[in-house]
Amino acid sequence: MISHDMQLWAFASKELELGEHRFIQSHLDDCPECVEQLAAIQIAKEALEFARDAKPKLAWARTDERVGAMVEKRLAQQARRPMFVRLGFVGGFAVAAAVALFVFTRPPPAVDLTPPVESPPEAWARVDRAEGLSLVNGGGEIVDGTELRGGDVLRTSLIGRAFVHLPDLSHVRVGGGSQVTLTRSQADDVALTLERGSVAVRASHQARKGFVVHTGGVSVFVVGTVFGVANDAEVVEVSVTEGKVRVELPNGDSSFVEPGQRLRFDTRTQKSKRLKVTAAGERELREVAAVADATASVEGRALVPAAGGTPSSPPMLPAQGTPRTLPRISPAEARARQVTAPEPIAPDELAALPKIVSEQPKTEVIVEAPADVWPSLGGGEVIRGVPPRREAEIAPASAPTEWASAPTAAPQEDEWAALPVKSVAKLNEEEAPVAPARTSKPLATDLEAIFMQRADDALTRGECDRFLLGLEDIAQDGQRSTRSEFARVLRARCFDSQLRPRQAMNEYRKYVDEYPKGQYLAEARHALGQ
Amino acid sequence: MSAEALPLPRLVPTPPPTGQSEARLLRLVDRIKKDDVLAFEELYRLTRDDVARTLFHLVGQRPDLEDMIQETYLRLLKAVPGFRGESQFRTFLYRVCSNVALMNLRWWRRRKEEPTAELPDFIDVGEDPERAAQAAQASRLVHRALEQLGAKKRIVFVYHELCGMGPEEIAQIVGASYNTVRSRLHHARLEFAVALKALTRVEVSP
Repeated sequence: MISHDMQLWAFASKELELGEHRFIQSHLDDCPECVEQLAAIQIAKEALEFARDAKPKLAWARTDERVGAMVEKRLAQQARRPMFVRLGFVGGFAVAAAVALFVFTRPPPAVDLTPPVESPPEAWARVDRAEGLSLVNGGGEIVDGTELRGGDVLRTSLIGRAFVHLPDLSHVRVGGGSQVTLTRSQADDVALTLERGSVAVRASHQARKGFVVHTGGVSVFVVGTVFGVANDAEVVEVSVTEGKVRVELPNGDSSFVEPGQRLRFDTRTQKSKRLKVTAAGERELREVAAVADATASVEGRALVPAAGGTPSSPPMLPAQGTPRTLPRISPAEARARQVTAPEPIAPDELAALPKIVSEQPKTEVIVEAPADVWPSLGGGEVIRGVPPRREAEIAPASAPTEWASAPTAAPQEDEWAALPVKSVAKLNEEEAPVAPARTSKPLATDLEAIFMQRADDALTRGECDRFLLGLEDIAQDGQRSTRSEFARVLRARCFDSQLRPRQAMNEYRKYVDEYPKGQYLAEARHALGQ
Repeated sequence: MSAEALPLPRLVPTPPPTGQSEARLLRLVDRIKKDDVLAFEELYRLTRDDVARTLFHLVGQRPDLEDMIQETYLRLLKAVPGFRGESQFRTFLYRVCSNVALMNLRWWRRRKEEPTAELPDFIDVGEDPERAAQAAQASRLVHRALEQLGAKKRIVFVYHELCGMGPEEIAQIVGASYNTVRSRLHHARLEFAVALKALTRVEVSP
């Protein structure tokens, strides 16, 4: 095509000034090539007009999850203090030390006998009756008794569900195919963010700053009630069977939903409609209410107040210790578990379900509650509980007596360490011997080998996607260098096979950084174009 | 060519309505700067369709479009604290999109592979099947023609012709001068028309 370098496209788009437009128009009368060129431009413009309407078809649920998980991870990283802040602290500490030196060289001032004000303990939410439940920011399936903290993101499989007991004594049922974030989880302030799926809530009547559920731009504020919230991307529904909730819509409108009502809000049209609560919704709400009642009776016995509380509203701690470290299981192990479809639980059956305390591991430690911790327990009164599980402290089955010394040497990061712990040797003198702690460490190691073998096999079949998370766990374990090295390479190959170049390059880059003399270095360098 | 009524000069095309007011987005940005997760989620929900469509236009039919969306929001999350409000938030967002797209286009160019090979139909059919079919067909042709353009020219062309932005705004987005943008746009238009003509000839001939 002959080009006269005319601004024909601008002419066709009517973007030119009047003089230029007239000039081109007159030129077209004498230039058949330009006329032909203009015709091609008009075809192109027509095609562009149609193409403008095209939009990509995406699996938004998966994309939303990925972006959500990425944001959580990023914000968690931001929470760590940057280097200059740490340096600031070091500088501040040096100044403080100099001031302290100056102060201590002077005659001692009058001693302040006021006891230090103890900060309230961090409140934890607990998982109960979990089926197909995983922690998005923790990277694995979680089990009953797992403690959650603010910021944790829970996800249930399509046939899964779980109950979460919140620190304000409220109870939440997470329905199948849901993703919910515990935005705030404190004894006097709870906020949940429902990304998708449904939650049923039995909120306690405890005085608090607030209890709010955010979903799809809608905020549901509550004080002491039973209600459910569902979000299926296009419609948000709020159902109430007891009490009342205030619903705040994205346009700023606010309205109350009464018992028996269901507010249906269409996020596309931004219109809301009041309907009756569905039978399924009512069943879920009855279920959470029944679990709440069953749990309340258990917790009434099982919880002991923690230091820092008052007799009227003590911060409650479980007398039976629950795992502090999230008991993660590898994807291979998770698949080994058969997650069955949950059947609706009738309220009368719920009371007969195994109680939370009976689902804990059998290993116990015995602690003495000092008299000043809680007035109703005399000094030396014995509380039984399960020791907190930390990976570093998990002892092999052959050496159960490590617990005798480990808790006293443990860092003061939980309430267990704050209480005096009797040695197991002493316990043996007083009572029957405690069953040795069972550990899954050797099994987990074997499973990792099997898991990696399966990941490698799946890679050849192009089905390695589901192994990525587990491989990352293994790759991050720097102690088993050969295995973690291979896991890193497997991840890179997997991303490459899925045509996800950015991730593949990232993995290879990590590999080169972590293993400068690794056996797959040539492969990594080749992929990176080095 | 028949004479036609003299048109009024239209130098800046009207941008497509995004459905979101700038003020609302700026309020969300302020909240994000205070580490409000919910604000970022809302921002994501409000802008994700726009971002997806823009990236789709910028790079065409790609298997890693979801990765690009994730990358865009990751970069946005990192960059928002530095956003001083000197430009529209929309401009800021499109700048992030163009950087992600540029990286992706260069990556595929280095791989020397056909990124659109053996992909399923990637275009949402919408409500009107006839219109959607035309859009899908046109979109495929347009994206194949766009593959012939260099990355920078392609971005300028797409922002102007498919996203409806003016050269001034594009200049802000891509960090180039107004004249550079006009020049890239002019050459991109010529190359695109030639490429599309060649493609339509190929499709018409048996």
